[in-house]
Amino acid sequence: MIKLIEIQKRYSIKLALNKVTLSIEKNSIYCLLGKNGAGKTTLINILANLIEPTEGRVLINNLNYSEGSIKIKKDIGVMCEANYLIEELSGFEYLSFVGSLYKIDKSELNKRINGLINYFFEITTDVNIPIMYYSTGMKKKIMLCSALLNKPNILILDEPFSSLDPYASNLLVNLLKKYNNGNRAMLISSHNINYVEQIATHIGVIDEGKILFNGEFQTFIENGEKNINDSLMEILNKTPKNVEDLEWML
Amino acid sequence: MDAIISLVSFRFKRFFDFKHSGLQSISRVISLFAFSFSGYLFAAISNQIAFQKELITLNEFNKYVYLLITLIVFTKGLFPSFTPIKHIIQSNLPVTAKKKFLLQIINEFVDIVYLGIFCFILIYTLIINLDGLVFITNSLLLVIMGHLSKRLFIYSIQKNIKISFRISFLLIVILLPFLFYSFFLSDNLSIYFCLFIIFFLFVINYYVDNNFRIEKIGVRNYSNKKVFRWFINIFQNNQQLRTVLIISLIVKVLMVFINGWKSFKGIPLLPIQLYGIILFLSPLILFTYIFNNLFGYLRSLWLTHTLIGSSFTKIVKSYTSILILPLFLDFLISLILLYSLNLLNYSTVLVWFNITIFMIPFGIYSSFIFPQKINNIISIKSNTNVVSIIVSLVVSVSIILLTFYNPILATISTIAVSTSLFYLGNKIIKNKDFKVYSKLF
Repeated sequence: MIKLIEIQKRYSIKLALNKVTLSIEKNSIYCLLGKNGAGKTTLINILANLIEPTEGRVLINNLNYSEGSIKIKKDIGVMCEANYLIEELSGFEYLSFVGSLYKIDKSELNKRINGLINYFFEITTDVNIPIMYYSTGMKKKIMLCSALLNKPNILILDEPFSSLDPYASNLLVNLLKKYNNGNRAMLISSHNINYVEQIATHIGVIDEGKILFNGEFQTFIENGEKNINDSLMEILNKTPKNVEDLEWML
Repeated sequence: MDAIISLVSFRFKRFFDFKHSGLQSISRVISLFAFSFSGYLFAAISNQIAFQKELITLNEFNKYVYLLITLIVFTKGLFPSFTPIKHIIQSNLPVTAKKKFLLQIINEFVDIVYLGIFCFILIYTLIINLDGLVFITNSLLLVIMGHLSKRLFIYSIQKNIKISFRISFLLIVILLPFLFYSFFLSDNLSIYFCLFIIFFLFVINYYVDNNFRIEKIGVRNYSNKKVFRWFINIFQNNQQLRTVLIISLIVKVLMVFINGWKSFKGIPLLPIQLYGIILFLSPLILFTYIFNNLFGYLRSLWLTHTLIGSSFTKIVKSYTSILILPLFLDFLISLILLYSLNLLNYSTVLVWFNITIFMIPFGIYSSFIFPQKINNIISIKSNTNVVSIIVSLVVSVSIILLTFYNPILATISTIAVSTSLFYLGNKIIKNKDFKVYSKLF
């Protein structure tokens, strides 16, 4: 469903992605792990057509953005790091606006919005106040609802668990597990390995713009012989650091 | 179409949402009332002019109203707070680039200030004794032109666009007011010209919206064009610099209004008033505010220089490069306004340059020898020593008088005074005899 071929992204002074090649198939939840600044968000932004790669190709359902931009976009749902919410509108109004861009029938749209709001929000009347008054977590929930509104076959989420409370995070985990119905693919970047452990079918580890691990979750944890944290540390901890070096503090 | 209707209806609904944003909605209603009342007041003045004078005077008055509308449109989003353009449509949504741009522009226009301007125009048009259709068409075209050019200006500051693009945007933005002026105050150009500019602006805005995406923040290249970057950062984050530029602009525009009002009253300008106008149209206002506030507040700026082994010349060079953009803007604004007052000639332009040549070294020199303790971030009162203000005023007036008497002599004298300031400045640095450092260390 998703293919990244030799993707390179260079910012003026930094090589953010270095010849990344990746493939994500149907019926998989691909979780991208890595340190801060490793290139996860850049990769997701390229995939979501938010930024363009310096080199390489992105294929979604065998189409690239220049060939079938609208066709691809109708089939993907994205929640990225940047906030594109129209803060003057209420949550409900914003979702209605996004729904109208997808040309979803009005009664169906209302049904979907109400369903998502009832699922993610405790006090559903909150969605009638302008977004500018929302907490960070509430904004995140609206962004999640917006990404899910069109029932996308490809779901791309950048740090979905950050800013969410544990209850909402668990709701999201349950939803993502169910959402993977065999015909869909998901790419999720996260630092929260507890939640990743619950949903991931595939793992990718990225560091300094290079993919260090790309494979099934079971392979990553060596069929349960290691836990996810140890496996990740083994890959990332190339130059071990010792807390005793901070002796002036301890 | 559904998306446009829902966006506009939701935005309008939120304007008067007293239930959820009571205080904001009340302030919006008050703003709309204020705009409408201003429209009524301007129309009343206009009708009085029409009653007392010939019809042509009323046309002249309308042109000043156009100028006022343009000024409000242009300053919105830049002053008092800088509001970057926020894109509302994420690139992954299934919308064509044209529709995305259209929605973005519509969202920007659905704003209380623009609604207020519309109320102003409507009330004014309904009351004035003139062809209302012409006025309303011209005003609305001006609002669109003003917004689109301001948008480019904001983009040039907000985005990581290469310097060549920035300069070309700035040129467009700065040339446009001149074109507005040519169109509305000279009656030589047609409405088609105005529509052509709007089309041109739409095309550039569309190009910028679709070709300059927000790159990852924090990895921008700061190594090149440091000074320009520095100015942009200050402009974005420092309300004072924006205040400096906007006040400089407003004072100059006010001079045009005062002159216009005097023309209505049939009062001829006395030579002393003429010199006064030229003094205000010189960069003196800009320098006064910069040296009073910006340099005073950012006193630590002086510390960024390694003064041991440095020279006054190097410092002047460095600060001139920082000031180059505000000076460039000031020069163009002054040119437009001098033109509007029929005062644009060789001598008045030379006055501007002569005062600049004097004020840069003098401002830095006086900051060395008369450093002031700054207590507030924003200070209307003077932070510079009174002596230095008086000296700068006296020298500037002398430059003006001398330039009109003998331009070559004036230029030579100014260069001589500046050179002596360089000499004195270098001497002070060599002796490390300036108070600001003795206080700080």
